[in-house]
Amino acid sequence: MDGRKSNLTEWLTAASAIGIQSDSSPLIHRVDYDGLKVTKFRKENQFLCYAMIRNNDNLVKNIFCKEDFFEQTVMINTVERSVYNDREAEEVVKSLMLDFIRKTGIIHMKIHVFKKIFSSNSKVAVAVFIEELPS
Amino acid sequence: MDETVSEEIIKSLQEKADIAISRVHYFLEKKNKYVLSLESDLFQTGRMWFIRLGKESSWLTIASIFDANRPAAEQIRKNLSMMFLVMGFSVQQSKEHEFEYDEKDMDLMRRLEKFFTKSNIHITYETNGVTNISHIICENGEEKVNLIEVGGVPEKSISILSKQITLILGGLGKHFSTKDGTIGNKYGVVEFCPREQFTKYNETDDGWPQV
Repeated sequence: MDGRKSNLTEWLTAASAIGIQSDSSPLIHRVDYDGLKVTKFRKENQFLCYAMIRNNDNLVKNIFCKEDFFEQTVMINTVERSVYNDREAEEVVKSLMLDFIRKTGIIHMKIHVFKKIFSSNSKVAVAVFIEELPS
Repeated sequence: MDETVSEEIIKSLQEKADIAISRVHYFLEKKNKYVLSLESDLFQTGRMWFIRLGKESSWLTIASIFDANRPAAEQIRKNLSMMFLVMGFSVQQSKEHEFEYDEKDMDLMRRLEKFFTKSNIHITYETNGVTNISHIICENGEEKVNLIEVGGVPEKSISILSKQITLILGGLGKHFSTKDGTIGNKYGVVEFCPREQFTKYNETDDGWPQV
């Protein structure tokens, strides 16, 4: 990354993080969904979801790289990588969140966590959307 | 390359910085008492910290620290509390507890108080790769004061924090700028990314200005 770009990115991170006014509630909210199911996201949030997934290896790549990702309705069918228990799934969620904050500087967000536990082999499929909340 | 992409980026930066500066400006009043809180993220990862100013039920986020442990984040919070005190604002650790300052802290506050009356002050930072100690520095060409000295925080996080401090000080109406001049009040008002810096540049494929 060249110096100017790096500098601007850091300014974006710095300025995104300060000046957020709120009551005493946390800056990061979480919504859990049981299973991988059809859901709707507003069009303006899609960039963030997409950027996040692209920056995180192969996790749930199959889902989000489909052409219809840019449609307003996102269908979660399959997960490319899954983990073997809920604790590991939580670690995935945490690391995605940290990575997202590092890359974007956005700290006021709602994290949508989709999990499905497969009874046949106890694997856990996990998918995460991050929605930026207004400052 | 579409020129509007970089225009949008710079405009977005200016807007975010302007909002940050104005919110700090309107949030802080010398007659109020503030709590300077340190909070971890929702998942309690212990690596991500937010410093917030609170009055009554209203909170303003003023700094974020990435990939650092709690003691390092506490140190940064304490140093920021000293900065606010020197600027004339009353800040506490919590509603019940005041910050505790030792003689070294008192000495720093005396130096900062004197230094903040000077003009042409830059906020810079240094990170020592061997000792892993970082400094956020106020300097004006003649003198330097270490506003923050902290260990174990990555350089990128320190760099971002130094920019946040510049924005806070801008919000307090002080004449501060980063060394590269991307923020300052050259024109009498705080202005982020002076336009002339971006009038001549070539863009990279992803739309960012090229050095």
